[in-house]
Amino acid sequence: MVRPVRWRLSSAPLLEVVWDGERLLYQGASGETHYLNAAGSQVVARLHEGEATVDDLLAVLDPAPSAGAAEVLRRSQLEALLARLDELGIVIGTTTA
Amino acid sequence: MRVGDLDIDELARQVQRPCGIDVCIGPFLVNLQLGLTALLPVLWRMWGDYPLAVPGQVRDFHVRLDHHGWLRRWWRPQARFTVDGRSPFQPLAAAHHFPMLEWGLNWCVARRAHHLLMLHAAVLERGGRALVLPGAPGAGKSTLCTALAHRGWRLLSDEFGLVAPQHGRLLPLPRPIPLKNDSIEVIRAFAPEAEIGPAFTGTRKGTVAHVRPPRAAVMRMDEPATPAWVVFPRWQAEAPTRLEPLNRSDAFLMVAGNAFNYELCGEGGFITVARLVERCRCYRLGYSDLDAALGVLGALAETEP
Repeated sequence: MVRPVRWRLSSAPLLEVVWDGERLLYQGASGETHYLNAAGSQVVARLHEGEATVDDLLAVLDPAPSAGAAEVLRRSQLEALLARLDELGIVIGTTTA
Repeated sequence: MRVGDLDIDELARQVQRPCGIDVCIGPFLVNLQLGLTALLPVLWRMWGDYPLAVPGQVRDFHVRLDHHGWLRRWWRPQARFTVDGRSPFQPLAAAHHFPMLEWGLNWCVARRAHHLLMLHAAVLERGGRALVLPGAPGAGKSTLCTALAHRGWRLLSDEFGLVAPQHGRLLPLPRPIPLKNDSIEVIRAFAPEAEIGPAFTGTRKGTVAHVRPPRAAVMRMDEPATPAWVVFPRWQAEAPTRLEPLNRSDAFLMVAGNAFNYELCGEGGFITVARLVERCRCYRLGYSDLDAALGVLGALAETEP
């Protein structure tokens, strides 16, 4: 059985400000500043609370999800966001328990 | 004693000495030496209110404006700007002496003052609160800044918004304001009391003429101001005057993108910009009519708490 990827925030130093639900991140390791819209900001806020799977994060973004194509789209968008945050060194995905 | 307290002959004598003169310009102490004296009348006029430093203070920049080579005194004369003995850019026509000195000083500040966050912005103050006008070239920043400086706002700077990371306040750097091309006549008509120096034609920015910084601004150049508004101006012919609120995230990205040294300041740059945006109301201002733009900005100062 394939374990779902569990996502967590990297331990690299991160400065953040949140305004009107949007988030700006300063990543000390790269010296880069990143902007996250409200959805991206919610993902990071959830990861501050602890590790989460894509399903956990989807539940935060949309507590009453609809089935079908819209759900698939949301999932793929979230996975793309997590992949990008992973590339940037902001989050880390693991499959270990 | 101030530069203008010296008569022009004495100023000429002092700036041509090997030790030059030490002039306080905002938070910087500039040591100036001239081998090229053609700019003395305009220098005396534009820098007249700057205090001469008392001996023993630490100089920030040693700048010199000189003829470029022996032959160039007579054949197509050129001026060379040096800072601490190095010439950071190509010589220019000697007739462009004062603009070159001012551009050279801009270069010095932009390259050296990394203990401050440097915004490419005009800054003015009213009632203790500072209005920051970041602007790309062509946005009308200098014209708007000059107009405001002659309508009840104190000029802190036309070019550099210097934010001190320790307290987040803006440090004054009142320098001559370089008006370009059509702006020169716009300001002559708008503020006849503005003291405008000679027009330098054919510079890399077209015709440039400098507005002397108002005396009151120079006299108060040791008084920082608390940021209250960030307004991104955009002049466009025939555009209606429109002030639109900006959300903080957009304002942050625009301010950071506008700074000369945001990335160099690292974490401190992020914190300083965040604090600036946090304590300011942020807007975009589209305008074509100076009076209307000043009315809108004046209303901000009068109505916002």
